[in-house]
Amino acid sequence: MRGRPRKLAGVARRLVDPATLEFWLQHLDPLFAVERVRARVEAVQAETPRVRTFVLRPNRRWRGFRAGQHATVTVEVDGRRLTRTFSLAGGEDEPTLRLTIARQPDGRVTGALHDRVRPGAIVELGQAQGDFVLPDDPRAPLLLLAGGTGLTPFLSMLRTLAARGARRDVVLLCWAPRPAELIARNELGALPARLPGLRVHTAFTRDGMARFSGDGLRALAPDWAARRAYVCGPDALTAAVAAHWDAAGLTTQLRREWFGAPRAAAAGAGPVAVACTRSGRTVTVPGERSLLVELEAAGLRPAHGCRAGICRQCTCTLAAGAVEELRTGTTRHEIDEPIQLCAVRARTDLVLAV
Amino acid sequence: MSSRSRALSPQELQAFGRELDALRDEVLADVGEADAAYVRRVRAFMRYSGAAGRGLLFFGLLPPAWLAGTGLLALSKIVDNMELGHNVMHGQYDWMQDPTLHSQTFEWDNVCPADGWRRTHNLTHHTYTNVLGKDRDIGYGLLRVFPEQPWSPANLPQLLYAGGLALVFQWGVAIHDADLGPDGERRPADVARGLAPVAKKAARKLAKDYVVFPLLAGPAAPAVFLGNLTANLVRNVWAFAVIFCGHFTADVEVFPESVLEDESRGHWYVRQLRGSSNLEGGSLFHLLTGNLSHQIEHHLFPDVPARRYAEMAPRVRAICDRYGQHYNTGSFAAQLWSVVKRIATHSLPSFGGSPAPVEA
Repeated sequence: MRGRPRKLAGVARRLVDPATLEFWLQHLDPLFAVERVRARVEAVQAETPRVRTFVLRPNRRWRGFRAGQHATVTVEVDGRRLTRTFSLAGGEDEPTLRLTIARQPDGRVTGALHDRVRPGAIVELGQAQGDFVLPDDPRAPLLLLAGGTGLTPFLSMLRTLAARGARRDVVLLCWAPRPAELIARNELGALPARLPGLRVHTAFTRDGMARFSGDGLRALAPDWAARRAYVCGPDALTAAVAAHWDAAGLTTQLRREWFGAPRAAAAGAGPVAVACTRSGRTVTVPGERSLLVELEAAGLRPAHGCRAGICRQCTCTLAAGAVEELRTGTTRHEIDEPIQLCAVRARTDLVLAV
Repeated sequence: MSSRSRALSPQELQAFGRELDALRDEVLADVGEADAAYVRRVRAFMRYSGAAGRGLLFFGLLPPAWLAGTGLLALSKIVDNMELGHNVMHGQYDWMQDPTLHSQTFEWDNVCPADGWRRTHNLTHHTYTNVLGKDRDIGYGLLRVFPEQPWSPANLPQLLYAGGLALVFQWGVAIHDADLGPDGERRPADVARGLAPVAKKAARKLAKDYVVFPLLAGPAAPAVFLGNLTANLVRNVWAFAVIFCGHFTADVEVFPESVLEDESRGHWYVRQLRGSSNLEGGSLFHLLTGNLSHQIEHHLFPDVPARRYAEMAPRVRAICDRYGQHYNTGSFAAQLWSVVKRIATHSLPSFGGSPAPVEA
């Protein structure tokens, strides 16, 4: 079910529209897709009470990834396809992908993944993205700072290096609330034996243990300033680490990976920047009247029709940010959510497919 | 022309609009998994019935197989155009964020390109519903269906035009959407430009129904050809009948362009209500009409999933009753008969009054 169907699919694609083709061929192979990455869940492993690892086998549309990158995961919740971004936790050379995902409070997607996604389920992925990857120079000493599930991109890096039998000078500092909540705990204990040159230090923040501090860092890694540093974790940790590097004038030595729930819209947002991916332009708008009116005032000419929220000619997808529906006051901030330009106003900086 | 609805004060119009807005928001808040599952079921049914119909037509030299195959294919095309295509293109399922069910990219089994349809139907018709001179769907530029429209001798045989239009309805819609009606000054270059997307789409559809599938059938080619032709005709006549009942029954009203100046939401709702009429029937009938049997609810709430109209209808009707607004509904036969009468009546010259005011 591999070589010939692909050739057939190539011919069929020109004759039949992809959605129809997928509908019929998914009867034979549920993972079949013309362009989209569909993946079957092979296993679900509990890491901690709040964190699970999903082992996925993607279809042939998956183009691989570099350790440290992330990918979007799309699941259907209440009939709506919702998309979130997660770091890939497995090694680059593994035949399956690993996503290590914490259940967020009130998180619809992480809640659905934890409650409903079982082995055999099919999820949709985006291609891997991001430049939070190891330096090209294999001799550069590394310092990895991880908070909570911010450990996942580093696990991917370390698993990749260990599987390739690499030697690497790496210091890994992990923060977790308490030992039971440290993900991949046993593996972290065993990794130094598989990866010569790796030192692992863990700190637990809820048991009177120190949070990040410059003194603590110097004690564990006196040569911290000479290392390529990476930080990934909750905002508070990332900000504290970034401030330390900035104060030392070493801003460029530190790579940061931010993650978290989408920013809620602030009332009276004030001027916001709207990046339009189709026209390649970024404009600043007041965020008071409808996006359609304000984009036009900024010199753009988005497609539109009735200007009254009826005809949907101005519908476009929201790639990032939050908007408010003018009539109902509802905030919308889902990735790829269709919005009607004439019926919403900007609430944060936006990225729009216009 | 007299209205069966009473004129409303500005305050009443505002309250009327608010009540309908509240109903809309309440239903939209409840839209979710069941609606997503439903539209996917409808799509799967369209595909399975289409495949079964085309499959049976390969044995179309046997009359029972030809009848069943043609029937299933007609059913599939009707569901594709009406409950699926028309409703998806209105954005009723955009909230699902499913690119295959998205209003701006959906394509249907019809010679009318979806882009043209989105423009003329969603924009022109749904925004300017029954506004003379703005809504090009009033009589489709072919028929005189209101006394306010000017009469000419060409209108005399218009019952025949209507019958002809029913048979080729998808072509009528396609050409209508390309905006090539008899009105206005058009150079041949403009006509060609307008027709280019139609020609491209039509070529694909014609090739599929009248070349590829007949050839695949070998000796049964004539049966397949005839079955596909019949299925397209059945879909055309059905769509024509349902759609004409939506806006051209006895009591629907037209409006002058002046109503569009600073039109309030309440007024917009009243205009949609008075320009539309419903058909009564069972749930299968509603499905086959793409829920255009709930034309009133559809025009009030074009982007609410159409399967919800049935539950909204009694509440809409109760609101209309309280505000003294006529809720135009009847059986399919009665409404269709009133359409035929309307087309016949206005084929003769008349001395129309002026439209009834909405606002007191």
